[in-house]
Order: sequence, then structure tokens, then C-alpha cells
Amino acid sequence: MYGIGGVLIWLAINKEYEPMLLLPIGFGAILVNLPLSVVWEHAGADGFLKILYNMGIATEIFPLLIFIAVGAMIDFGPLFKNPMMIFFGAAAQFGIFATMIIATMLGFDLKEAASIGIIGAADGPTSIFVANIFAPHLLAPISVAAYSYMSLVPLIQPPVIKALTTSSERKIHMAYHESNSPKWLKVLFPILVTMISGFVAPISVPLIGSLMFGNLIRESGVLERLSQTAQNELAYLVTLLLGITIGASMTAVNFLTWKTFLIMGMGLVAFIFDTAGGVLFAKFVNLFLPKDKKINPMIGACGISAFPMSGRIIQKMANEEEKGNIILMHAIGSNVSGQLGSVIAGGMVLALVPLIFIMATI
Amino acid sequence: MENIIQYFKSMGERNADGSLVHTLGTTVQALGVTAGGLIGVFATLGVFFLMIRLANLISKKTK
Repeated sequence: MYGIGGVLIWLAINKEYEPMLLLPIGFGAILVNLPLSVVWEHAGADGFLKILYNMGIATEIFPLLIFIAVGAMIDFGPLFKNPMMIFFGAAAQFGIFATMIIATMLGFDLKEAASIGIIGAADGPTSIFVANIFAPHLLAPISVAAYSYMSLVPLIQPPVIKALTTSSERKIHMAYHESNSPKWLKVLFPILVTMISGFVAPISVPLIGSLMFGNLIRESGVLERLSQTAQNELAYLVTLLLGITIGASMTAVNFLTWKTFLIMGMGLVAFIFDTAGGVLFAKFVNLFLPKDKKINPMIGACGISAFPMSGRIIQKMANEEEKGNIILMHAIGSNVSGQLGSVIAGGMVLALVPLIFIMATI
Repeated sequence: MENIIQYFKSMGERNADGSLVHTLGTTVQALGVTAGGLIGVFATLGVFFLMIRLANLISKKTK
């Protein structure tokens, strides 16, 4: 485990792969595996990392606080200008479900499989939230896989996109019309999204409610300091505590199992299927669009939740394919839809798995 | 095909000891979650899409 912790710290420092999370996770993994594991439990008393775990992970407070911070960072403006992009946020969740099916075929039960599939949400807090409810014993490998692959999006997405698209498709230009969304829409949107999600999948309300609360703080225009606090101090502080606490759950007994290796492999599968789902959906939509309105199918890949990394990668690829092809705003619109889509998908999984469980035993 | 139909027909039937004749396999359950999940995500985001389109229309008319 010291080696694994060391590798995570090396990836964070030398490769700058999600350093804010992988460094604390790596250090936490080393701490908890030291003799007597005093940071976790010693002489019948809880250590400081176990206290943090019980307070922030077991209660799901940390991921929800992260969501408030993320919500305060999201600008839905590009989505409001081209609402069509919202559907890519749905299509790119395909990896969640494909991976879940594969996981059941590999012998995981439905709850474990659902938790593994959620790695495909490309959204750390959602992965932690769902795994903590359905398979807390798999929380450590699922969290490590989710954050590792999120940082590897620049390596995972381009080859998948290139394999599924032709050069001419990647060169498609998309017109962008500059216009300002009305302020009332920006304020109403988080409120209505929370309410609709609450009616469709009430169990998703903690997730979507936190995200949209953060966004409402941002868009209200009267809570600038709170918005800045959420985006900076809250995000950094909770990320730090979340990382080291997740690391502390990586005891050798729990982590060094064949399941961990399978989960790491399936995490990669989830990200590949997400990307493929988004790209293929864009190609499908193109079948029905006139020639001058075609969508650059790379936009579909941005429907994952890795924001804004995925949007930037797709813009870089478009520019490499043809200098001056600017699709960034469309890509960002699709990318913020991925944020919504991943949370809704998490809520759907949380609602449907127990339902199917009941149906299966009737 | 007949087997599948029989499988679904016999769902809910119980043996003499009270155990189920057939329980849904885990992969079949996962397929159910997949179908429901994808429909649910598309439908929910579809509602958000209509909401944004409507808001944009109202905004244009009031300008």
C-alpha cells in the first residue's frame, strides 16, 4: 500500500493528475497502513481519520459540500444559448449503464455493479455518494478509479473519438450566435431543475439540490462573497479533507483484492463507453439535420461530467484537425450538461436499483 | 423466444416451499436499471430543454 500511495503522490506531483485529490488520497493510504493504524483506531478510540470518515463520508456531507462548490463554479450560459447540447449530457452517461451490465456479468451483485458503473459519471462526488449507499466496502477503489480516470480524460477521449469519427466529421464547423441569456432564466433554472428532479427521482435531491444551491448563490448576483467562498475556500477545504479521508479507507485488507483490479479496469471501460455514447449519439442526430446545421460529433464526447477539461480537449482536437475551427462554446455547453446528466443519472440509479430489487423478488 | 416468454410468465410463481420458481438474474436486473435509467435521464434533461427553449422564446418576445 505504501507503493500505491507513493504512485498516487507521484502522479499528483510529477504528472499533475488531479493533484488536489490524488496527493491527499496517496498520503492517507500511507498513513492508515502504518503499524497499529493509529490514525484510524487505536486502543478502542477512533483516530482522527476515522472521525473524519464517520463525519464526512459515512454521512455523505463531504460530497454534498463539494457539490455546492461545483454548482457555484458552473455557468449554464453556453447551454442556454444552445439548449440542444443538453441531450449530449444524457447520451454520454451510457458508460454508467454499460459498465453496470458488464460488472454483473463479472459476478458483482446489482448494488456493487451500480456503484462501479457510476464511475462513468466522471463525477467524483456522485461516485462517492452512490458507492457509500450501495457498496461502502468498495468506496476506496471506486473513488480512486473515478478521480484517476477523470485526470486521464485527455489521454482516454482522443483515441476513442478518432476511432469513431472521420477527419471530415471532426472538421465540421458550428455557428455560434452571441446572445445574453435573461437573468431571470439563470436564477429560475437552478430552482426549477431542483424541483423537477425532486419529483422525478426524490432520492436525487441531496445531490442535485446541493449543486443547484451553489449555482443559485452564483447567479443570484447578490451573494458574490458567498459564491467566491464556495468556489474557493469551501472547495479547497472539503477537497483536502475528502481526499485524505478516502485515502484512509485504503487499508491493505480492503484494497489489495482482485475486486480492486476489476474495478480499475471497469472504470476505464466506463469512460470509453461514455465517450463513445456521446459521439455516436451526435452522429445519429446528424442523420436528421440539414447539411449546414450538422453537429461536430466530437461535441458528444463532452457530455461527460469532467468539466471543463473535456470541453477544452475537444476544442484542441478541433483546432488540430483544422486551424481556426472554434467549437469551444458548444463543447462547454455540452460539458455543463454532463454535470447535470451525471447527477440525474446518479439519482436514477439510486431510485431504480432498490425498485428492481423489489420487483425481482415479487 | 418461447423460453423467454415462459420465463416472464412464471415470474412470481412460487414452489411448494415458498421459494420463487424464477428470480430475475442480476444481469437482467441491470438491463432493467439501464433501460429505466437512460429513459429517465433523457426525459428529465428533455424537460430542462423545453424549459430553456420556452424561456428563450419568452425572452425574445419581451425584447
